[in-house]
Amino acid sequence: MSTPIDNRALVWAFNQGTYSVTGFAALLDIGADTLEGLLRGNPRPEGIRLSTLLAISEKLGLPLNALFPAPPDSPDPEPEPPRLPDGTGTSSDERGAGSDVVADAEQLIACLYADGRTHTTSTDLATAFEWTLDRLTAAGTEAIRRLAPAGLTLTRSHGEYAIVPTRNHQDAQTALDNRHATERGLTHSHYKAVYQLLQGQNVSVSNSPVQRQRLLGGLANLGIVTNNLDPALTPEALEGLTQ
Amino acid sequence: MEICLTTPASGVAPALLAGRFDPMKGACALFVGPAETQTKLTRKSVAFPVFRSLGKNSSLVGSYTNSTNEYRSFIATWFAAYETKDLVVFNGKVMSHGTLAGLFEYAAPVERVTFVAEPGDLHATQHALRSAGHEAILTDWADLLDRLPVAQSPAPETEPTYNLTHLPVCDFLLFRNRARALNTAERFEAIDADYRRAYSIALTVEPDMYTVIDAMADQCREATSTAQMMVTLRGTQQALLTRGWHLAAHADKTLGTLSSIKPPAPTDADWRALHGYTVTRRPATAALYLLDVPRNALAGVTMSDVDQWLGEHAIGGRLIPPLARVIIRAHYLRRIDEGAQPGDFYLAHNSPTGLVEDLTQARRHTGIPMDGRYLRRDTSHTARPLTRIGLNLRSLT
Repeated sequence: MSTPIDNRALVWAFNQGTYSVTGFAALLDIGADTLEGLLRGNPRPEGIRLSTLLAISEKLGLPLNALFPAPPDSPDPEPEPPRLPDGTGTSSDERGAGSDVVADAEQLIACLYADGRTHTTSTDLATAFEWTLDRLTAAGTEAIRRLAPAGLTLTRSHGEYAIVPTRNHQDAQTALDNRHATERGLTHSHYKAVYQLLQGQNVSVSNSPVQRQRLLGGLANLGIVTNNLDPALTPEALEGLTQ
Repeated sequence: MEICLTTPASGVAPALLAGRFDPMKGACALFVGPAETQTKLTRKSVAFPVFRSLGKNSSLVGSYTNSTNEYRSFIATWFAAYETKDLVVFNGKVMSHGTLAGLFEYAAPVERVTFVAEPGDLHATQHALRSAGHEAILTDWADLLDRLPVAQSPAPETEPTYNLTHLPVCDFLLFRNRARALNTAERFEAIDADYRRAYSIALTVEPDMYTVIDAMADQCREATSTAQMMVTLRGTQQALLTRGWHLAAHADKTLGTLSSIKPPAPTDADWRALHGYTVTRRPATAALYLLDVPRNALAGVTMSDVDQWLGEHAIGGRLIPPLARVIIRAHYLRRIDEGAQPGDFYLAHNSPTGLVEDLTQARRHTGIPMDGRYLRRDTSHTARPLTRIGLNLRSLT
């Protein structure tokens, strides 16, 4: 786990003024409970919304990174044990445990990732791999560490293992789905309608009014006409005409 | 192969040697990343940095894998084709027994492999080599600098200002708008210049399909990339629409049509793009095409023909540029490895389709205008121009 938020700057700013907790919270535009927690140093940085941190740093005139503690110095990774000159020295025996976890994590990620979104239970995994559950847990922890830079994580809830994105990208996914759903290729009739609009004529492409509305709706979805009821070419489409 | 070991007195070794490597000059640099110490470094995983040291482009289709023996065996072919004299290995101390064995196997045609240790790492590197059973010759840093002269900075190439990746994939009605929205102002200006030219020409051209194609081909005569053809197509489509004509286009086939009626005019950038391939047959096919070997003679080229061309440095009086020579030589050596005799075919595709496919795929991936449509032996769809040539003109009124 990471260290708690560095609240010294915040506490100092609070002690400068004569604000009450609620008054100070109102100034910062955050909840009084949140502020109280922050002053006590309770929440960890990942538990606070970024907008809150931004509001605090903006109001107090602090750089955002002043709110995060400096990372502790991590020790250098252990050097590879030297081999014997004749090439018989065994590195795997000596560092066996460490590299096993790495190999296990690779295997776990590969199996779960190939499996897509299906949830697989820890029992199934351990049985299939002929591992103990302890070994599976260790491999899972290593897998989480390795997946983090890619924005993925391994969830282990109710004994089910799955690899999921760390953040919720649902909005982006919805936008992409909408685009796929509405953008279709245009047919000759569509171009005929566009030509008629260009000429200032009424659109007379289809005999059926319903078909005509659907045709114009398709063009409206693509952003070529303004709407299907009172169609006109959009500025985006008119930009293609250079004269 | 000579194995040497050296170290600079101070400083960061790769920075001290910057600008001295160029596969074409026979000097390659292999960076073994520290990340690879964390996992098992094998002959397989070391193949990837070796491909990189040769300047291979892993994002080209057909160059993306190091996971089969077949692909890895191309490394030695390319080292031989480049006539590599020096392979300089940085951070070699992290390499294990197996990795070093793999490296020496790949680098068999190389004259000298020099391990460059950072100051202070000399003994660690020496130790790594000894554990793998190799004794390196300690050489002077100055000696290495002598062997690797600073490459003269090449004259700035006139690169095309935009390529296919800068063009929006959308309907031609919105093409100009999206191109503006998705590109920087300078880039859009370059795209728009071509677009406007095509637009204004198409406003006056006689609306007949073959006249339209001729007009487009005229504008693309000097094009060095398929991107310009695409912009020409979009401008033409838009202008014809305002005149009441719908020019339906299958973009990829249209690019093929326009490429096939244009004489090949390869640039240095094109040759460099072909150097990105790991496999040798596809760039070799493209190279012969670009050097104006008649298209229907491509499949019949034999090993002895190529031997003669390589000896004369020319094909039918047309000089082979050094960059192209390496590509042709690489496939020549490859075919010899495969046991080809002088009378055997050089390209040795299984069928004419394979040849067409290689040219088409290389056009799609590198953006070099080329096409083998006249080699296709299909008589179907002759009635449908959209299928045959990728274009169709219909009236909207």
